[in-house]
Amino acid sequence: MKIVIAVTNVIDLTQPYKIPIENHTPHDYTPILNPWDEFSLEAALHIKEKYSAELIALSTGDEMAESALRKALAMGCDSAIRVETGINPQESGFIAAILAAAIQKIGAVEMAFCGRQSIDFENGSVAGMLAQFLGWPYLAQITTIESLYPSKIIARRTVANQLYTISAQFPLVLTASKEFGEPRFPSFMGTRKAAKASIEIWSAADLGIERNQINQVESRLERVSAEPFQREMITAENEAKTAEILNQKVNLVLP
Amino acid sequence: MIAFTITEKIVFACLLLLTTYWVARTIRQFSEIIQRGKNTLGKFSFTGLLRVLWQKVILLLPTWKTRFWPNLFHLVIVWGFIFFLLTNLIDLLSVFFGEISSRANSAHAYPFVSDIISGLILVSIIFFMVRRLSKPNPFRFRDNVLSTPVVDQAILADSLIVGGLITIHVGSHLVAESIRTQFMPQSFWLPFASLLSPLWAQTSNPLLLWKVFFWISILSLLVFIPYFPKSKHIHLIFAPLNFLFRSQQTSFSSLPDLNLDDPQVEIFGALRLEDLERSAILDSFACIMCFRCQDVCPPYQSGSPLSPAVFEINKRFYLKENAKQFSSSNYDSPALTSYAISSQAVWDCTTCGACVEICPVGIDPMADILAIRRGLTLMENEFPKSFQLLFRNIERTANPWGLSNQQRLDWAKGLHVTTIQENPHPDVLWWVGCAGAFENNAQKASRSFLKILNATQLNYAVLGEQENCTGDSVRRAGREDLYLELALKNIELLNQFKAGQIVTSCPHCLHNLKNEYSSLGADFSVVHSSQFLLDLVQGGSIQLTKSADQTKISYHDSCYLSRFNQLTDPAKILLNQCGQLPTNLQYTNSHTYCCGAGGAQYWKESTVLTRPVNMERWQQLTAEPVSQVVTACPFCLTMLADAGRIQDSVIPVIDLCEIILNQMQVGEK
Repeated sequence: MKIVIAVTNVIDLTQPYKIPIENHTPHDYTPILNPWDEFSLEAALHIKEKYSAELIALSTGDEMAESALRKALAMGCDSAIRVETGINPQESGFIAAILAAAIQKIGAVEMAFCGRQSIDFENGSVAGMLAQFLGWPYLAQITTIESLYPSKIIARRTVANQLYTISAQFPLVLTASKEFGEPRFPSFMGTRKAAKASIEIWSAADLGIERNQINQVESRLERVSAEPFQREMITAENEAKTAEILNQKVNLVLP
Repeated sequence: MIAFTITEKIVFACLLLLTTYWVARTIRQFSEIIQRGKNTLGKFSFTGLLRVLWQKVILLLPTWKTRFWPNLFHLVIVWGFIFFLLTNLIDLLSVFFGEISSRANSAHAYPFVSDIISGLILVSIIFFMVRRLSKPNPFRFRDNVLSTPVVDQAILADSLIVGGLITIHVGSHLVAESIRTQFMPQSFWLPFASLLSPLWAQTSNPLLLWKVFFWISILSLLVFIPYFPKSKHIHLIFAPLNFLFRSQQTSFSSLPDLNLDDPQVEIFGALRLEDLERSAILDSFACIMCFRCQDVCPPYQSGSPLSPAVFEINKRFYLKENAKQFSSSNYDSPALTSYAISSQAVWDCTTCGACVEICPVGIDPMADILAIRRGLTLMENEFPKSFQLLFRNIERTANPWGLSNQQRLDWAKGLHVTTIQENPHPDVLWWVGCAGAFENNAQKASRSFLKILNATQLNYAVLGEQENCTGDSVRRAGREDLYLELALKNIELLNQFKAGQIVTSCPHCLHNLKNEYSSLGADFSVVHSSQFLLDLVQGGSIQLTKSADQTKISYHDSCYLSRFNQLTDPAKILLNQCGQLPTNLQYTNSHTYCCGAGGAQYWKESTVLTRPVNMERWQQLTAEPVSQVVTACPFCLTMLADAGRIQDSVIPVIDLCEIILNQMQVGEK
């Protein structure tokens, strides 16, 4: 079974970063592998360990994207492909189109995992669009894999306290939710191997895509100024009193 | 004149040959076993040998740190043993060549000395037997420590066998001498032999009886020799060897570097006994199972399953049971964590070095524990889960707090601080350290130190945003790769500025910058803030006024300052000059007691212990009424402040710099 996991780097929001309005390309930031991708990687690794599978990490972007791929390799992926298109895509449709073309080129892929969303721009639309481009079913935010048959998967997901058991025929697109389990920490030996692994690079032409073929949507950034924080230390003799004062204060602000 | 028959001589010669063969075989096996370890032992030197013989064998210097009376009796046995080497040689030669006699006066004294020594040895052996068999003996360990089930009884049996053999050997020699006085009166008074000699007054054939006891004495030695290598008493050979062949260390328990890029190396760190250093295998033969290390081990005293003593004993027992397989070079021994030390014990170690400091035979269990941590982390990806955050933070932000280096000078807000950008060629480069920059308690100490620096108008600078973690905690958590990354970056950075002197308030930073980086090519002059402040006081830059408060204070020595770097005096001199009266602490100076933070414990979710290490230390420090607890390490500061808070104590925990700032006046210079 061949499984593709689409991964990407995101901005580490715990660290300083800058996104200028005029050219919405983030800079001066610490890149990290998208934490949601880690959950999907964990799900794919779980399948690999339990049912055996070939895991291919896939990303699109410039050389900086390679650190995400290397981390995926360190966690246990078998190979990695980076699609170099000459521009750094921010727009979901463009990314999904490239991923779809790459997955078709890889061929005989039975599952394609994506992160449910990125933690920086939080669009959460690549997986759905990818399924649309490929014409595959899409199982979003699965929490467990119940069983895996040669041609279909039965999985579970929890939405608003309700448990769903869902199944779909291969090939399909999936995202994993947080409940799937904490992603493993890449081992030193894995990282060491991943640092030396060669990453295959494909160009847009390799995928038979021309840039103008893709419906480019201009993404916009707006600066929204937030109200200044109001700070006040509440000191009262006991917790009940503190809660009472707090309640009054909140009611003053929120009508 | 006593003569031996030809049969006696032949039988004895055969036994001697057999023993010699046995000894040769045993030596070969020991050397094969030791050679399975990694790296080489230290080089032999003749001066080293003389030093070891004098300091460690004759004077037994390393033993005197604790247990005075047992040490005294042990000293008698050691000196007695050395004397008996001569006695046995004389006895042995006398079998073949008849009695050796000399007219020299000293030769006449020989039976007297021999008599006294035999008597003293027997008295000492009785002391040790009673001590060993008495209920509250120090040779026990808790049930939660991983050990082979038989260890407890085996140690006792071993002691009894050896005690018995010494008693037989020396006792029968003494009896033989007392019988001899019946037919060969001695010119010297023999106090112990003459006590026994009346017993033989009625004997019809004293010569035969003498022979019986003479042979018992000699043959007991020949029984002892083959038993000896299996017993812990082989330490009388291996303890001096262990001191002699310790791999040359540049600093206290310095860690061996790993070449992570070497494609030939398949195993980093240690998972099995043969992955450890050769000196570690030598250690297990040298161990005397005295449990001194367990007594001073803070995690053990806190209820952890870590006992450095039992770890060494487990190694030893494994080798005893599996000597033959283990000596063959292609044998894979089982994982150390399956029989020698539990993985919880491995991760509970605070790397305080107390076990290394106290060991009378030069064993370093801490080095092994750190090697095992490397093996578990690098090879097996097994470490306490809370370390994931530590590793991730170091990877992303180059400091354990995970805060951006852009915030590194936030602690100095409102104060003037000179950065390296403003002053690229400072006389003094102040390495603030991550704790000093990011941790609340330590920030206070940093501000005090900064005020002192500003007041003295020294030409200094801090690295600010350019500073990174030294890598101490990740190195002690086994992540040598992260440590190397940080260390090489730091060395390159510090080399750029060529500061005359680096000063730091963090003993862990100090130890790395000063000692551990040296194997990576660093050569920095690094001092701790306590040394630096003492220099300022002695140079007249600042004057200290005596405090009016006559309540005592407790000064807590940080392990990495006092034990690893022997820097305990500067702080004490400064406190004395501030008129602060210290309490009497049992654990102080290089014999200090850990605060519980070292060895990356600060970053580990603490395991449930009967009494956490910092609480134990807090108890010791506040046993007497004190006005404050003072320390000179940011990690100790936090650990002790936490302990005080949990105890609802009002005693403040403060850094040495804060006291100095309060008590100082800037001198005219």
